[in-house]
Amino acid sequence: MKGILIATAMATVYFIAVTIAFRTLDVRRRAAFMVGVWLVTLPAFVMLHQLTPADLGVLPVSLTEPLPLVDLVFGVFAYTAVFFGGILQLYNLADRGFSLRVLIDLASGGPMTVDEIVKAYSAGQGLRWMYAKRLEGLVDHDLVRRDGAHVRLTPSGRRLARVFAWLQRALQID
Amino acid sequence: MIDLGQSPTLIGVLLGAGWFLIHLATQIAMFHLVDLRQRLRAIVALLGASMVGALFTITGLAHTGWLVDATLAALTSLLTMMCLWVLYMPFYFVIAASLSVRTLIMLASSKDGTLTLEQLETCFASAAVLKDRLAMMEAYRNVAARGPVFTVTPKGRTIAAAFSGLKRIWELGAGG
Repeated sequence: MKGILIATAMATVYFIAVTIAFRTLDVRRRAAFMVGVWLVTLPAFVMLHQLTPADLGVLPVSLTEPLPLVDLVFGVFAYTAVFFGGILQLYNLADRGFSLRVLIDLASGGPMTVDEIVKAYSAGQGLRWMYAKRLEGLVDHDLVRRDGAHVRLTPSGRRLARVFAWLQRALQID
Repeated sequence: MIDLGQSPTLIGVLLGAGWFLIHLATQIAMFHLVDLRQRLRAIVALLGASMVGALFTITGLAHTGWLVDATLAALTSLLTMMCLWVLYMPFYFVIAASLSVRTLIMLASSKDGTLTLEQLETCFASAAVLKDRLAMMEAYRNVAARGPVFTVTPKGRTIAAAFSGLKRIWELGAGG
């Protein structure tokens, strides 16, 4: 359990640190920044684990793992899950979530028809703006290319599309 | 060589990972065999059942006398399953709902992998895609439809308020 408790403490410190960074620094690529900060905290995690006693001075014997390396690896795994599955996903949802943005627009703007939501999406920027952002992301990752009025798949985009299509079939997603 | 019986954490991790794989395999089989409307509820129910399965397995092992500490093994197995689940679910939602993923797949199925921007916007930036998404949000009771008008439910309002708060704390802007 020591690894879990350290993971919880580190995740809390991480959240506070990223919040301070977002509010004081001009961070452009926030997701990459968050991953970078997480990577920097990993050695601190290991050091904290190595420098503290196996029971942290408070854990009962029944919750103390006898093999320190096993506890450390499990703690790092839990911290990784909390970051990639938790904190980073919170950011993705808050900054890019389509359904969430619609929900926030409805909550702040009152009842709307579909056409009204299309225009009001993201404080009036509209659905086309949303989609342009997604296309820009695909271009940045060299998955598609803009060719005048056309959008063309790149070779890496085609490979990735095949993987996604297979995954959709495997998971029975339309 | 590690004696597994001496490491309740390792036993918990292995059991948790094993039961999570059973959960995943069952989910995939179920989606192929049954036409489910409320997939998220089914996934959560399967996870719950798998967690119960892991606890039963650990109880059985404890009765054999081989497992040194059932409490830590049980906690670790549940935590392992939860960690794997929070890593799996964003991946699932990307495959299921991401407009970027659907754009790539649509381009791949077109001639020469090319479409016009207008064709893509018709599919992914129009009232049609919004209607589909609103239908899903209605199914999960985040919005309610009254004729042609959509309104947010109390559950949806709570979610919107929580994330609006997070966007303010992190100074994220409108986004979307």
